[in-house]
Amino acid sequence: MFNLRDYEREPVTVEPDAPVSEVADRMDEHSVGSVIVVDASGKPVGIVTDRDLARRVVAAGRDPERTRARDVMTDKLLTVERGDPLPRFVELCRTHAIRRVPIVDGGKVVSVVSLDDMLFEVAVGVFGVAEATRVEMHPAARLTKRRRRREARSDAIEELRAQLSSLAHEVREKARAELASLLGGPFAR
Amino acid sequence: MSILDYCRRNPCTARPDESIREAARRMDTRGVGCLVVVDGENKPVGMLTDRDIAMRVLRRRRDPDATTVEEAMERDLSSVTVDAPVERAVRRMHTEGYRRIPVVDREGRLVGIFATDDAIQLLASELAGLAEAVRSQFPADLSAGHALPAHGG
Repeated sequence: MFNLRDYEREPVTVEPDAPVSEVADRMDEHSVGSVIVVDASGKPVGIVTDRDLARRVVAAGRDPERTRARDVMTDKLLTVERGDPLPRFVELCRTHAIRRVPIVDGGKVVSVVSLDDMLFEVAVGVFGVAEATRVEMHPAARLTKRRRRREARSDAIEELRAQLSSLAHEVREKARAELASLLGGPFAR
Repeated sequence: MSILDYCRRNPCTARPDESIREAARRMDTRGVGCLVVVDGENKPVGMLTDRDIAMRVLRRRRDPDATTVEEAMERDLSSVTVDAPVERAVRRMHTEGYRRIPVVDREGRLVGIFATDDAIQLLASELAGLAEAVRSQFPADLSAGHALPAHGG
């Protein structure tokens, strides 16, 4: 359940000189909340989130066509190395109040990991445990009012769990397919 | 477990006829990513997030001074009443795909906002308690390799 590699997504990147209007286009086209700013050599130099666009462009009254990615990016880019353990990622999110962290390998960004994807998986895991518990409960003994109420609740949880788990599966498979086509090898499972 | 105990009270709001620029400035100064859009009676009519501003205004090349909150906000959002159980709020957020849901009183006026982050924190504390309870039921000599009774005794 907790392996950083399972949560990697293909990074969306822009050049430092890209106008922020184009940054917004990329975010929308790829349905992501952040883009990594990379220089000509592929080195990551910053990150721009949808929140940065609202605050540092719209609230600040800047012209989106004349403002560049590098003008609004957060340039202290916090990253984890490929192969780093998951607690390192969680620690970064916790101490810096961030939700998305690029993973680098040999100085280049290879993927992005989102705290939200992880929390989603945790929720799926919790509901899975609830279901396993429900199945193990001895069926014959007590058909009390309390038990019926509990079963009704379990049904609701089961419905939610099924929805969550199929959605998680879709997301994971899509990410894996994208990573496999991009990187080959280890992701093509 | 009522939602009122876990939601955040007095969330930041916006009026439907305000400009996007004003709304964005409020988000910035208040340090929030979301404004609940309310009518004159403080009843929620929509929700505006920083992503809405980025995607529905900036991305579409609209003028933030000439675009109103109403034009960019998410409408048709549901809300939950203060006495609703947390489970209902969570299910509603999941089926409708929102990370936040307004909490209203019986007259429909805004009281607070409940976010998936709040749900995660609640879940974590409940799970910690549950783990503690489960742990306390293991036999003390488990580590010595004794078999567990088949059905936990």
